[in-house]
Amino acid sequence: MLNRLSCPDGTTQSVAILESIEQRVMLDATYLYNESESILKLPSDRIGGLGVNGNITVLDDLNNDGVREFAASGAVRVQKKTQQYFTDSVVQVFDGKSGSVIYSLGFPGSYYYGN
Amino acid sequence: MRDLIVPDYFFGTNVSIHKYSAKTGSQISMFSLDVASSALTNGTFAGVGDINGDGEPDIIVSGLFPTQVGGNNVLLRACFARTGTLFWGSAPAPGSNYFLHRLMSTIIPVGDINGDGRTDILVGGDDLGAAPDALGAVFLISGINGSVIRAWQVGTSTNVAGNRIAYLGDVDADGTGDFAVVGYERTSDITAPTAKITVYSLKNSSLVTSVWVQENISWTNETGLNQIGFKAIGDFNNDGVADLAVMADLSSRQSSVQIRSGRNGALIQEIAGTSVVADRGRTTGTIFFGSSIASADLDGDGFSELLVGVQQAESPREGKGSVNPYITIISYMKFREPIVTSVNAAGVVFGTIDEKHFVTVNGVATTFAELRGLIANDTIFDRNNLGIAIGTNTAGDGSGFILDNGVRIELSTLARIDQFIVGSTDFLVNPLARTRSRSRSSSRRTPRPGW
Repeated sequence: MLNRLSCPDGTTQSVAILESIEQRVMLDATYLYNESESILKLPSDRIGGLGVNGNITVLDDLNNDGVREFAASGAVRVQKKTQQYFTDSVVQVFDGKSGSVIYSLGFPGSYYYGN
Repeated sequence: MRDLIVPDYFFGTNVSIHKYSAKTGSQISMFSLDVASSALTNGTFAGVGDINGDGEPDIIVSGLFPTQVGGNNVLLRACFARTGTLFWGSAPAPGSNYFLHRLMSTIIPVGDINGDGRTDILVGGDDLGAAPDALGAVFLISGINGSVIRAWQVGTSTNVAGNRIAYLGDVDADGTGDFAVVGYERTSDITAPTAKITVYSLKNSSLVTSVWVQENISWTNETGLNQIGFKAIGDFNNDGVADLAVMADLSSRQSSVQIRSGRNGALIQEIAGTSVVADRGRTTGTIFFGSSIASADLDGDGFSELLVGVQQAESPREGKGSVNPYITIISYMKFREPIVTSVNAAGVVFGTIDEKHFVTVNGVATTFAELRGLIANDTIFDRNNLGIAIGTNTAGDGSGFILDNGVRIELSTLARIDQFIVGSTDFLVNPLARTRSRSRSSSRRTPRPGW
């Protein structure tokens, strides 16, 4: 955590800014898989915003509590006893303030062989 | 209120695009796009704003589509988000339907680069066909018609690159945006793989000239891992350039998220997933902390939250239950411009940042132990213009004290020093009460109700 900054004497100092990342919420998404991320994706956090390639997306303040909600998605590849696989996917929308799940969208997937 | 659009890549012959009311979760509409591949890997999807100038938001979907442009398979399709109507297809690389070959895995709108008044798109993918003839590459695509404006073949026969890219804005102040790409050794059996982040300018295709390069980043073996977080997360250190969050490897079972400067790649902050995972009591299996990363100011307090997703590597089998990957949300507070109040001859800096005081040592104060080691015993080390002095006691154990306007506060543990450094300004009002009553964690910014 080193920043360069100017000092009163005109020199530049490397300064360790001892600001900590603060953990606010940890959420359990009990049915949230990320094993096959390509199967189910979400759009970027805001249309036209920077960066995609993630499966967490920030939504608007859906419940008007002053905190924006967010969604996370995941897909899992489940191996059946027949060596057949099927995919199962879900999108969950979380309350941004409490971390509780507001609703889930399920996506039962297709069967296939292989890995 | 914006809707939620969810693409569903089947292991079949189509990609279904579902549109929901974000507020209620009810489906509004759905449309499908044909694909040629039956086993898509790393296809992706992005909302890119209005790229065709009709005032409506558009989306781009990657896949291997059953049409061609210039002899190449179409790998990208642009559609109206409202109706799904296709308005261009793009074939920047040969593509392949071989399972292990990747498609365009990242799609990022980067603004108008070619001066036509429309947003252009940066796309990238690893191993876009049968190696070595179609290695990983990054393309700048015209938002109007999908044509290739510029290309960078960033993958090599020994390195995988192209998938994980991030747009940083104008890092080198030349008037054109720059992007970062991470590459790593192709061999998967390296015990301690490393990665290299390189930033290139969007204005030329040179792979020789880079804005900056950061090497030897601990990387993660991808066995069992489908996604490695690598994302621009906004201006974390307030230097005018978007910074990067990178999933890095700590060990075979634990990973971390590194916050790196978008200006030069230097490590700003590292968040270890270790304690988080331990807190949840889920230490079985391989933990990939940082497989997904997002950031936004959720609560409107001016500080962005960092959202970190965790993947566990185990794949469930029928009848045996399933693993429970979970999402961990960690907030960060953006840095404010530090105000230095004094610097002594030994390079110790007193200052404030975000209404908090800090004390550090020039270039070496990366740990508190180092700071203590530089302080002679029983010596007033420095005093700043706020009337605060720091020194060490006579115990000879490296512990010290702070004098705040004549009031001596013993610092018998490292935590005390930490506490002083991260303490808020009201520390000055009643220093003894604060330092004696607060635990280290509670001395930090008080979480808002509900968090």
